[in-house]
Amino acid sequence: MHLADGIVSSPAILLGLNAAGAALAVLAIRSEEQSPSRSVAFAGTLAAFVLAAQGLNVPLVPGASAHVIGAGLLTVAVGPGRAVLALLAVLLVQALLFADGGITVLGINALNIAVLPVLAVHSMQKLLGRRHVALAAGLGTFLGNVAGATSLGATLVLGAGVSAKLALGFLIGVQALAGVVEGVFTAMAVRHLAQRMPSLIAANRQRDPRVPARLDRSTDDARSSESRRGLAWAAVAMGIALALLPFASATPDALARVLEQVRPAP
Amino acid sequence: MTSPLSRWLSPAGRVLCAAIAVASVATAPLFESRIRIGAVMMAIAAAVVLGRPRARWLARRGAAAGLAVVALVIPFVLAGQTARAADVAFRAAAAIALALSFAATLSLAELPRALATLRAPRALSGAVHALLWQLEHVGDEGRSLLLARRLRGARGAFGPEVLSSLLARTAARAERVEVALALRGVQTPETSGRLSRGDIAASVAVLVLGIALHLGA
Repeated sequence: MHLADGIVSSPAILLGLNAAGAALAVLAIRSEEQSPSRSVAFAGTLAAFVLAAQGLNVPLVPGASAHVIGAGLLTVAVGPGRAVLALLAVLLVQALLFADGGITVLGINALNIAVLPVLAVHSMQKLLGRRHVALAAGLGTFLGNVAGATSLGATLVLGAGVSAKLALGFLIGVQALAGVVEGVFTAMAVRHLAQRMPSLIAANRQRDPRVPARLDRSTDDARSSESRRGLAWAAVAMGIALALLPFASATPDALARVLEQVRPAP
Repeated sequence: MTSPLSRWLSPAGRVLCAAIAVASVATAPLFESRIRIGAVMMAIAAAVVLGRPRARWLARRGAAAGLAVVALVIPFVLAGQTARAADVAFRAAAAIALALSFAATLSLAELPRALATLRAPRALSGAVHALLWQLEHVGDEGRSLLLARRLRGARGAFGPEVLSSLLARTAARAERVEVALALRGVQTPETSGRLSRGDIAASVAVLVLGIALHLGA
């Protein structure tokens, strides 16, 4: 579920959570083994698949339908880094060209719609192994939806003062239902892929020999130091958000109150 | 007919002004003061007049975005915080109206250039460029898959095999795009252009108005 502008109005919370979301997205993208310039055109074209797939409605019950997001399929097909980059491109286009998802909450949406669902699918793949890739995709999609909803609910509680029980209960309930449908759909699609074109499953592919080793940025040392840097930045961003939390308030006049305190008295 | 915003500002300038305007409205305590509400309504009216979005497009996009806002406002309503719900809904609706007025002035071809000018990460602006470049082709592939399915006699809802087939075709296209760019020696788009003086002046003006919105009573 996209978060729109204006729902979370605290600048401190927006700054902190957007920075954390952006840092984690960058971390996920850089964790990939491919050279960055090679990933970009590939990820962008796959982002077109995500947008096109979101236009295909899956009937749920007579009169109601849902659409798939595609994070699960993408992750299985191209790996987590490219999947996150593709989904980020989609979020940016949706926010700037269609006002679908807010401009001021791009980092938060990146966390909820790109990073968490992709990481959930990738984790399930690592856990269940190559032989159960369809089950991993389905379970990961469901868990990713729930994780994204939990993160969105926490954002609303922290940044908009919504009651935790209601925000989390409502959002997780709705997204869990959507996650079941999308999870089953994704699992079936991945099974179809695995049967007809197993080479499309990322885990089945060898490292691409066309990428020269010197362009491959993923030596263990480089990757682990980049991962530590990325985690450090994400921790700094969250720390800033939490330190600013006392100045942030659910009521709309928090910024005005702070500014009144720092302005000299007339 | 091109809108005044399209004539006066470059694509990067429009994206920057949109971001500043939306951020100002989205974080302002609007319901505290009628003057603020009036100022925001005037800003929306100005953006619509200067952006000249098509009415049907505006209504369709606005309705789609509005549904998401309604879903997010429901927890406030269930908690009995109706005044807060109205405040949040108004702020979100105002931000969406502003965003759509600016979005109407941006074409698909202009967005990647705007992002490159604004020094967005090259991987991201490159991915957006490839997305918008290939979107129509991938959409055509999806439509031809559905048509072929109907011509083979299938009825009703499509199955997951359509999605996996579309992914397979898109992945093959992505490989060809990648190889074609490599053969032409093209990597990610270079950062291009700078903001013009008009863009900077407009952005500063919007920023000043946004700060006034926050500080004014």
